[in-house]
Amino acid sequence: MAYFGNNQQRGELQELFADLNDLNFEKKKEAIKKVIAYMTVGKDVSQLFQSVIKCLEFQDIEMKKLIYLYIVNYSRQKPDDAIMVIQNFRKDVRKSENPLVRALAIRTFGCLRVPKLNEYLIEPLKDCIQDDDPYVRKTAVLCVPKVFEVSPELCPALLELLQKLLEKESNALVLANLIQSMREIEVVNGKQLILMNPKIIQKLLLAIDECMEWGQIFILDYLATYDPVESKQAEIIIERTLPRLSHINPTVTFCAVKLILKYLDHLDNGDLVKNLCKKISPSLISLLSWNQPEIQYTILRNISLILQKFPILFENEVKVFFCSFNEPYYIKYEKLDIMVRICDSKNFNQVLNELMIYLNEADPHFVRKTIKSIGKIAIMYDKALSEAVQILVEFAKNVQQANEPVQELFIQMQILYRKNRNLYKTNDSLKILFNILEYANEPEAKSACAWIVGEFAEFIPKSVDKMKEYIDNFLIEDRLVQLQLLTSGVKLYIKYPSLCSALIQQLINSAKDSFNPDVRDRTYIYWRLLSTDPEIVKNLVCSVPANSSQFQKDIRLWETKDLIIALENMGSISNLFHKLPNQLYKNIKIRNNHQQEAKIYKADEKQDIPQKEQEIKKEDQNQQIQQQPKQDFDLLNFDEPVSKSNNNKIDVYDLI
Amino acid sequence: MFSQIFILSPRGDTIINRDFRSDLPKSTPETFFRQAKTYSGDANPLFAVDCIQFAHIKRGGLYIVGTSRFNLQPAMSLELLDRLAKEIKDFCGVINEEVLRKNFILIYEILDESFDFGYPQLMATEQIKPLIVNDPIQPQPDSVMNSLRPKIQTFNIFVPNTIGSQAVQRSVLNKNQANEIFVDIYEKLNVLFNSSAYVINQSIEGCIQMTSFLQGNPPLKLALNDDLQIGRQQGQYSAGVILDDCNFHECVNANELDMNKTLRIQPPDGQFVVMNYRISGDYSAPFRLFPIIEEISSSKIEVTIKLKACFDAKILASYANVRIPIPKQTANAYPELLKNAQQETAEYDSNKKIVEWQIKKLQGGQERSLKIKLTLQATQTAHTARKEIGPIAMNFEIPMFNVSRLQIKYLRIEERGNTTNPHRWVRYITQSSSYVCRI
Repeated sequence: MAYFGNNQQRGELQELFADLNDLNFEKKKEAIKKVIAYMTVGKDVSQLFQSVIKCLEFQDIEMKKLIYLYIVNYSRQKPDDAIMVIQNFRKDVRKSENPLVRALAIRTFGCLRVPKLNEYLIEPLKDCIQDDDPYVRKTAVLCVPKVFEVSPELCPALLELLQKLLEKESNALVLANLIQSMREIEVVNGKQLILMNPKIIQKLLLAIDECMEWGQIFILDYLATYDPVESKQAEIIIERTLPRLSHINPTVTFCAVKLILKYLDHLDNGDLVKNLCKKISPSLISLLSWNQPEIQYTILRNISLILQKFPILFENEVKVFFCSFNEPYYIKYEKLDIMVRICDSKNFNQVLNELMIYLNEADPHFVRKTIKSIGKIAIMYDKALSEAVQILVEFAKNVQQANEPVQELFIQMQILYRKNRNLYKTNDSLKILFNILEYANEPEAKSACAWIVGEFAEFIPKSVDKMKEYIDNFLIEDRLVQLQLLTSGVKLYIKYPSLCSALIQQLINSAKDSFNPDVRDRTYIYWRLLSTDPEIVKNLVCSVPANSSQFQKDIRLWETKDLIIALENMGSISNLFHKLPNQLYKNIKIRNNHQQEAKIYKADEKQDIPQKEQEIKKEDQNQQIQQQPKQDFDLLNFDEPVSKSNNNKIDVYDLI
Repeated sequence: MFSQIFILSPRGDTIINRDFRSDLPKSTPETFFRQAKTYSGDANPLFAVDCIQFAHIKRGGLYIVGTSRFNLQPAMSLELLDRLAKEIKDFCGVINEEVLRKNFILIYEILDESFDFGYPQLMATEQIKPLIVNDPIQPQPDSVMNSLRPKIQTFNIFVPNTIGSQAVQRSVLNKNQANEIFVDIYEKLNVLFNSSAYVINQSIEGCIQMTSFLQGNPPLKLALNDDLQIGRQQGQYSAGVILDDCNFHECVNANELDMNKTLRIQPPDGQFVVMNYRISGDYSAPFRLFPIIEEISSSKIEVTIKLKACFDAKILASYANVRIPIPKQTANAYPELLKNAQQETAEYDSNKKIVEWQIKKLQGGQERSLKIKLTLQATQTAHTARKEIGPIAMNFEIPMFNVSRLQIKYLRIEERGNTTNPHRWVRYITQSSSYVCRI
């Protein structure tokens, strides 16, 4: 590269070169420091390789550290020169009295990553793994995956050594590194390397008590991937893990929670499970109260996953998730989400009262989400319906401008009316909504309005005028609104045939010119139906659906088998995005899991066998819902073609 | 785990760059900096570019960044970077560009002991101290005291606004120091009142924090209240202090806590949190707010707020601030204090539409009140506008007072035959975290 460098740079290098070869030790040292400084800022100093490694003959440890740093950086560019260093390394590893030097050498050695150098490395590495000093051992153990990555063919003997070490090692720090490096090799290798037996488990449990927090994390994390052979074993491991729940480091606590939650499946004592759940929930709640918002956020994202499998954990704790006024909004959004999730037939009142307060918040997006949440709760619990409508109507009274929350208000009110048609009477809700109809400007909200006008035409004064207003602008509307206007217009015509004959003409005339084939198709269907037999149209369009069970009740997000994988990766980035690891990282392998069914832990379930059945039922439901949720709401907003299953039924609704 | 750790200057120059796994391109610092600059404010602590995860914290204007291509734990990676920053600070005294550039070799050393192959190894200052050979170079050679020894300065989640503690600013490595230990009990209160001063939700987040200058770090024994109880059973009412949950620093042995309410502590140097605790039960809130809203006419509203300090008259709150959001359509607002008001101010911020009421020094048992006269713009009526008033939020700090009644009964040095009797200082501080009254 010097060829491209300017004269000044070449001059610098020459100066360094001279200093490095100087006889004065201090001068050499200063020169090496300068070399490292250049290296850090990205200047190329690889030409000095030979001069630098010559300085290795000094036993000064500071100098050694610097030179090793240099070698690691440039060994791959100059593999042939790097071979010259080997002798020095081997001498350091074998002869040095100082464990620091031995460890330093083996650590650097591992970082060279040059295949043809690695064969010289195996023997010294073996020595280091069996070294007397734990500091050297812990470094050597981590060196194995480094070598394995570059030249796996050299490693079988090393792996055996690691396995042996696992049997006899007693130092907690070494054990933690050992577990971590063997796990890493397992992932690359695909073969199981850590052969668990009761003795090793015992040892690991002991090590958890002794190691530092990071080691604890490694070991707990590993144990959480292990499947205990029997209930008793699971119980013992859980018992030893419990003290970690009160560790000050959030990650340790979280790993402990992960391990215990996983092992609960293996326990056969129901009371014990309940007791454990009681112990876990305060720890999880504590994680939310002491930490900075970023960490709280990761915990909240995971809690919403945990809740899908363990509703029992927070059944009486909904207050914990009440938002306080000075929290960042990203925390508030998550809390809102979780509140809806843990809302049940007992506490919905409490939750709704809290949500009502949030409607006064300043952030329109948050208010919008709150309105949506109120709608969700009302759909889930029939008893909550009237109260939810009351809250929303109260909100509607104060609407003065077209903003985000108002759009959501129309959408949610429409859904609630669909669920229970009689709600229009509650608190004059229909009248109040009609007064603010003009504030709807998003397509979805507009189509909701159009539906309301058509559906309740007989209770709205001037409904025909309003429809006329809409139809005048038909062609500039969104497809979603156009479709709904068509249906609503036909409804109006059925209800007031004489008043609306001109209106329907105008509607059909403009609709058949729509750019959208769906709209045109539907126009022609109505047209023909109306001209053959209006009675059929009436039955089709103005009938009230018999039940409202089609509404999505279950708000679980994930399919069971994905949920299990997600829970295994609790705390990781993929969970933060609510995605599976393999969706986020293309080349990640997921541990095969034979478990297909997630056991749901609920508080109120008393008997075991019906519970199982219920679960299976839930499974089925869940699977249907997995396909349905989109459909349900599509059904309301006509957004996409309806899916294949129960096609006929939907078609009818489609027209309503 | 981490593939690389690098430290960038505010302008994006690389100061430190350590590659642990060589599995990522060398251009990651540029990638990071380019992406970080796309955020309008501070960059997200975590983001991903092309499947590479970047975790970073900002200290002294510098970016400390860890990269990885693994499914790492976000909470852990940020914690690790924070620890690394703390170590650097312990060694160098401060973190800024100049110090880091001067000490870059030392920092490489620290990095090498703290991480190997990207996995965290030894991450406590006491542990890596014997393994480090370089001495820190201080940027100002003239201040001799500074350059002699680095200072331990630690991250503190509680920031007392009024009471400075001399403990925090002292070096732990100074041999001639007094043999003493500081114990602080901090409590942060979360209270939510409804308009009739009824408590909807309340909790305490507390911690016991120590700053130790004990020579030779002898083991300590810390005794808490006799009536302390950990874990709340449902439907149980006890006169004692009940903690819902607590957690402990690594150096604390809490095995005897249930039995005889004592903690055994092996104190490290400097500042550390002995335990965190959380209480959700009822406690008597130190301040009560009574807001009254009156519609005088269709365009005028009068808000009266009474504030009562419900604690012992011997105790003095060092400050109490009350923020009252008022309707956006307000044309003008006149806050009025009582005639005999002392050390009180009330101001109306017309941009934010907030009235700020500040009280310096409030004695227990006292009552204060504030009247705000609002005039509305013609576009809104008083009836709809009154809904926009509130919620009222309060900030305060009360020294030498704690709500939970958690007490330190004694703090002893465990070593037998130890005749020296170190000074022990105990402080209690109560602060507001979220103290809100809805209207």
